[in-house]
Amino acid sequence: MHSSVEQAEPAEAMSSREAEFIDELRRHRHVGVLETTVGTIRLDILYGDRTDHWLVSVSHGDLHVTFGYGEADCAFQMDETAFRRLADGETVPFAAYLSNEIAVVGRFNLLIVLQQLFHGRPGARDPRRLAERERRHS
Amino acid sequence: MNGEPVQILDGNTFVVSADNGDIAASETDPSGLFSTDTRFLSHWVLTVDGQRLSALGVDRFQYFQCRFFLVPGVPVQYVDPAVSVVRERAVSQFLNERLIVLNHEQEPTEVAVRLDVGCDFADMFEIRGAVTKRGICESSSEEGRLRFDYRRDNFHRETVISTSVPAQFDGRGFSWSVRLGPQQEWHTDLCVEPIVFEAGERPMTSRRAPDKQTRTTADLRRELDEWVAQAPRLDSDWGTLISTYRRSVVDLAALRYVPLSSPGQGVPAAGLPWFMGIFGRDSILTSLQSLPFFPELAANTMRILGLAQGTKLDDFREEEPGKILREIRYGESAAFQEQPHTPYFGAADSTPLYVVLLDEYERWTGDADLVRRLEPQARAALGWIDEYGDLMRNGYVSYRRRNEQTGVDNQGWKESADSVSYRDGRIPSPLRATCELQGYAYDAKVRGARLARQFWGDPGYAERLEREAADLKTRFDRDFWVQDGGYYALALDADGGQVDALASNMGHLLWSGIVQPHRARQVVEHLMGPRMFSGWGVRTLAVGEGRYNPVGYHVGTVWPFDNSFIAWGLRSYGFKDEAARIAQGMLEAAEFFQGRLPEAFAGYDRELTRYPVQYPTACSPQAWSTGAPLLLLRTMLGLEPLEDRLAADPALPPGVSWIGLLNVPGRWGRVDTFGRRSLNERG
Repeated sequence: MHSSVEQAEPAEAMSSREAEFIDELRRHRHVGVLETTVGTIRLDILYGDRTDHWLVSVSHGDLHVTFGYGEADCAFQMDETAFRRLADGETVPFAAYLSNEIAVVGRFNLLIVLQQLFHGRPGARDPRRLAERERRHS
Repeated sequence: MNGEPVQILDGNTFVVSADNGDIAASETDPSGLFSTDTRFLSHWVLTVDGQRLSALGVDRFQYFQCRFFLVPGVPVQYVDPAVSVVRERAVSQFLNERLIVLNHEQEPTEVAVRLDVGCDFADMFEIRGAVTKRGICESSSEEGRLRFDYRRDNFHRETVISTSVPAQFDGRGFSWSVRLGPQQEWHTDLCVEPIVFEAGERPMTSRRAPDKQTRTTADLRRELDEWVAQAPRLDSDWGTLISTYRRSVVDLAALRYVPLSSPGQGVPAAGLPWFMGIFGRDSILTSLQSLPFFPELAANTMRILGLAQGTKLDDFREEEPGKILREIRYGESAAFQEQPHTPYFGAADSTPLYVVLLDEYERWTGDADLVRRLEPQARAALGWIDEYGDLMRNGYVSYRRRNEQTGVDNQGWKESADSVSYRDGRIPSPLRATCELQGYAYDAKVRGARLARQFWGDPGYAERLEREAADLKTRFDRDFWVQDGGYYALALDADGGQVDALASNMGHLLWSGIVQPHRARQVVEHLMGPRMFSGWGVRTLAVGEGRYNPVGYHVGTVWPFDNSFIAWGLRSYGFKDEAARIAQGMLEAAEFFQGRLPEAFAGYDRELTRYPVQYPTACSPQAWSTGAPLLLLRTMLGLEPLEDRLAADPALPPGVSWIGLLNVPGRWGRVDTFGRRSLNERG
């Protein structure tokens, strides 16, 4: 069992991007392909001399998000810039791991879980719409 | 370099050198020491008294170990060299090399031994061009080691080279002044350590379990022995079959690749040396071929691919919800998103094939647990077929790349740009529905229905999938059948028109079962007719088509893997003799390659060349060519799981009297199976 210290969320200190992302994660409570995964991940986001911790536990596809430090199967440590790049889809966790923008401490396969919690590059198109446009023009 | 390049490997660390052991990478010579998609050694050249060495022989005794026997200069007949050199090389995460210098004279001698080294840290995608690094390379020497270092932002790779006998260092190598008594020898042990640093300067190898952080050659040897011991035993009066089978078993061991995300679980990588990584299509097809022999490869492949299944839309990576990936890479170009391999999803076949593998795996192993555990992945894959896979919303799986810069044009197994064409050679617009994708989708639905009914407790879903499969089969026959040719079109274009070249893609349709029974005879006549069958196997494209070229990668060559699936399909439609003919052609070809089938060979008529002309390619062994003899063996023996027993219905090629395959693993435990040609059939 993992213990976690639930704290009040630091509304004024947390970046707006962080707040938005966490909101989204909370709305997005169930992720189908994570139904076979159980584990807790922790995001450690460094803002200068302060670190925000978020715990995301995944149990059979359900996500539970809490603010505050706690033990996790895998911790992902990143600075504010790396977090923003991930949240904006400028990079994905696997690429950020390879370029050492984030540190992965613990169960490595949870990196793939993290990958599934973030968006891809912005402006992605539905391939069916793209095909439709191409057929109309041909 | 005169001879063939020499390559050895362990996982995704491998060395490619000339036959004298030297590495002198250039734009035209992609040799080196590679690990995690990075070249850690691009120069490794040995000289004795200023002379390069020539190979007398190379002993390639294991996939992770080899030995070079060398003499200085160019060997001249009838002149005995005074000095010779042996390089004993092994790779097990590190490159270990023992340099031995032997004096053959009765007099003492002194020789200057020099090893020039260099590291360019090229990414796998840079090695075939000029390497221009964006980061900074530095070298330094300290305590008997030479250290090369590469940094780009936080990205950090390092090569550390050490020698057991102290040497004189400079920034470019080691020098030893060696005194040898009469008939004496001297040696030094060199170690090259490729280091990948994660954030916080932590070496990536520290992720492995402590006992796995350093693997010795003895560990590798033991692992290989265990692998070979668990393989079914083959007996036959057909010598080539036995030697090819043995080669395949060992090569499959070499091709196992253990990804970071799943320690201890090997999956078949695509090919040595350039494709040592996770490839959805290659790992799935190789797992299918080797199911009756090594079923755990399939389980590992499905777990890993399922874990990384697509969940979102991403144009750069061509990701879509439910899609199974094409490729994962670990190099600099992936890290900095210059290439899309984190992961790249540009494949339209890996997703339906994932479901096909899951069902086939259960039929063999009875591992219902995995089928239940992977239900969400399998449902998402089946969902992809009808949603994001159906680009034209016409009920067919099609593809069109969204990553115009670094994406793949053709997203079936024939990826090259000219592989899909009309009879007259024209290339259709990029939106295409190739025929084999429809076969895979059909098979995925049929098999998905069985899984839904038997394991997921969802008969409603099973009925829906069956209805859709039946409908697909009918529509497919109507839309793809080329009336004036009597075969299935290679693809449908963006307007729904037939891309009407005659190609081997049609052979996979038999395997998938989408061919209407009354069409099968005509399909088989084409596959085994003179335009397609070369005498060794079925060509990728028929002679007479506009783009046919016997040495064109996907437009006329013969691919062993392709043929193994075609033979499986022939078998399942009752064309036993034709399947045996393909098996015979392939195995006779293997004889010319010491049992190791290449990726592809030329489509020339067998009568013309008498031997199979290998397509020039850097990848050997290649996983699905290694798997081909295994699937052909299953095909010849007619092995099928039938509930809890293994059924056999052998059909052996002429001239082969018997084949016995012992200890075949499966839901029945282990059983022996035999095929005999009756006396009156003996050919």
